[in-house]
Amino acid sequence: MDPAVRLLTGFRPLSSVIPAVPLLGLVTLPALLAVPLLLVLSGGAALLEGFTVPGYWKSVAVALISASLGTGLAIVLALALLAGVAGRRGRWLRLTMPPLLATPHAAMAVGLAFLVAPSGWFLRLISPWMTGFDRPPLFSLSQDPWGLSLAVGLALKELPFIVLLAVSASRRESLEPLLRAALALGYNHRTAFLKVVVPQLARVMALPVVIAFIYGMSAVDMASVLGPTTPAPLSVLALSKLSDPSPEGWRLGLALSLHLAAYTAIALLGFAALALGLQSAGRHWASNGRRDSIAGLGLGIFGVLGRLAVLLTVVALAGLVLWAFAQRWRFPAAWPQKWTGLDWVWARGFWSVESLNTLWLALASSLIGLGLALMFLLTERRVKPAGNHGFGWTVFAIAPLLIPQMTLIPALLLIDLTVLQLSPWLLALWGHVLFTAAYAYLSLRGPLLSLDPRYRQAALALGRPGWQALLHVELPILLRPIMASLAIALSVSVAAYLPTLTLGQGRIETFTIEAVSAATGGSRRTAAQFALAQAFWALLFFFGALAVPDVLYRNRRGLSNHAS
Amino acid sequence: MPLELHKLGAEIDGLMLFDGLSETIAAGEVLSVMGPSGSGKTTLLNIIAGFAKQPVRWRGTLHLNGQAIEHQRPEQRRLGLVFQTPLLFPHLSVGQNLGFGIPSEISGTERQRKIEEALSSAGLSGFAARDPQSLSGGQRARVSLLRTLLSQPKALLLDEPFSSLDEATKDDMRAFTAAQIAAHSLPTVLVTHDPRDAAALSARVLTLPGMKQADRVPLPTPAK
Repeated sequence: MDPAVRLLTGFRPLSSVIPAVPLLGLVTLPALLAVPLLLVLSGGAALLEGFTVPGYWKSVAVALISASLGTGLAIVLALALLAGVAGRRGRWLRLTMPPLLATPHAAMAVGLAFLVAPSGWFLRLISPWMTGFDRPPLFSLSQDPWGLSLAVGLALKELPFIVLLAVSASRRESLEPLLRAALALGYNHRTAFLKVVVPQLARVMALPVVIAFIYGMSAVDMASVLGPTTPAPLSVLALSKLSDPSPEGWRLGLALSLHLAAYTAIALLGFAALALGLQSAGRHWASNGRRDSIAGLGLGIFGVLGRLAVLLTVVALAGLVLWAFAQRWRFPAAWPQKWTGLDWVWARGFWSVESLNTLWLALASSLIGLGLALMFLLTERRVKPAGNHGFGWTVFAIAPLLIPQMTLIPALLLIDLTVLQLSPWLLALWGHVLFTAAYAYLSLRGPLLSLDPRYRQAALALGRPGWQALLHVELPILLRPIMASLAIALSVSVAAYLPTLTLGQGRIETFTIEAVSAATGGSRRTAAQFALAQAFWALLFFFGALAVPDVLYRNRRGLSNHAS
Repeated sequence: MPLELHKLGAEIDGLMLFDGLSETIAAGEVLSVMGPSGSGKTTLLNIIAGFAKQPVRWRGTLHLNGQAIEHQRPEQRRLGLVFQTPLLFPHLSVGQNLGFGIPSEISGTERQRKIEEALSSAGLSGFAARDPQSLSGGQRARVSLLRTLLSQPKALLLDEPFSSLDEATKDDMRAFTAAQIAAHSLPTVLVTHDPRDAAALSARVLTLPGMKQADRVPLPTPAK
């Protein structure tokens, strides 16, 4: 064949990729522009000046320690919990993880801070009878100087994300038969899990783990509540400089955002090298024939710690409820002495500016994000050659998750200030869509791309046009994963802090903004009430969206195969 | 080293699959289990291997070489289970998959020698470093069986091990499996749909009719 003809037939007509353009323009482009734009606008002087900010190196160290430790701990605890339930029903894990996933970072941070603070619930429960304290001690477990409590907070929040993705991957990749094969060869359950299941999971879990680490590096809401203040982690330091009204201060903030992106990239390269080394050593270890191992024993111990971590999260959220309703609660009383009325529940949680802003942003950004993701995925499925499982398309769709939020959001603000000049409301909505679209894409990709093509072929063979095959056959079959994606997008938007704060330019009050502001300002009851309202709406949206297919398809057992 | 099944019964959701099933399989002997779909063939194998779980409920006892094994975990029973699909571990090479089966007490050059011998017996010399994905279906099936045999099992359980192969490969694999069973002298249970599998490997067939009492049918001509 003539090379020119081959070249031309190798390309699809441009019109076939048009449905992917909205996502590429609204989600991918800002992410691709972020680093070059900040490089140009911050300037070399500000980049160098960044190194001289007081407490800079410790700030970098705290960011790296908390994000690495938090992600590492989440991975180990997730694997240990999964090893405990692999090949078994594991009902408790499947029941507890979704609500913890839907609980926003800020709410969890506030709950955890209240648990471990000097006057927190943990010390109250053992004081004064065990500790002798009749007033709060001077030491604090939260906001420690090296960000360890922040690391624990990040680990607890990332744990359900990693567990649920791993459970979904195990099901999709049919890992249980491999585990059985190893057990049938005489391997101890946990050693079989480590030697056979973990290497398969590592392949599919790499991307979510990278996303979790990048999030940990740029988390601002959790870092403001649980992280140290002198100096604060690099993301919080950059945000404080960005709030500086002077152009020099602002440039410095942009430069620090770039520093954060650079450290994130360097750390990820280091982890990639470590992972390659571990992979090579792991293969030799896997085939050495040892049926039990110390690592397997260690996994058992971490399994116990994993269960304790889940319990700690549940207790922290229970404590949040207590603080929200506590009118008077003096130390060291274990329970509140006087309760608030219920009037704030309606006034603050349902009929308030924060509530309306949270709701409209969540609904609008999730529906837009889901629509963009769906159009992009349908294009990917049509254009990509069969059998190509590469991540090229994925990288474009989830580009906002591969760049620290603290780098991306200021860049979007710059694009707006210099070119677009949108209203803060529209800009904040765009900021939310960056993340709702990316997460909707991630959760919908597996089910949509693995849908049996014969459903579509059957509809076409019955004389239906392509759009009818999509609307009347494929999308209804995929309703469960579509609603799961919507549920995730909704909870992502309810939890979003930095996009609302920065792009809303301080004019949009949501539950997250108020909860973090009250928690850092020391107003415990107000923080708890906003955090509780935030968690309530996130959970309501999450389970509401998941309930739709259950109601519509309650008599269609075959459709549960497409839930992922 | 006989494998003894004594008064085995199993039910799923209140439906009895089989009951009162008793068999003794001597070393080197193959018992083929046949029956229609849903009659409980794989369930029987899972009960013996220790993998039966809800909603299967079962009763009876299992003895291997006179020792009760029904309360042992799957990994303690030392029963080699060969699955319908080869289930080679995709992150390991062909040689490493075989090494996975060899007990850790065997180390160094002896380990390597066993891997090479096994590969040679399957006509796969020089395949140790290969990716399992690059093997044909028949080659994968051989490696899977060899991996199980290298784990030094006390009995062998075969769950439709030829069903995913084409006809020509099936004949080769039947002969290869029969030779390996004879060489290792293991009591073997073969679950199959195909009477030719049973004829090629076993002297007797147990037919599970499904929802009825298990029935034992002797084959007219024992096959090698």
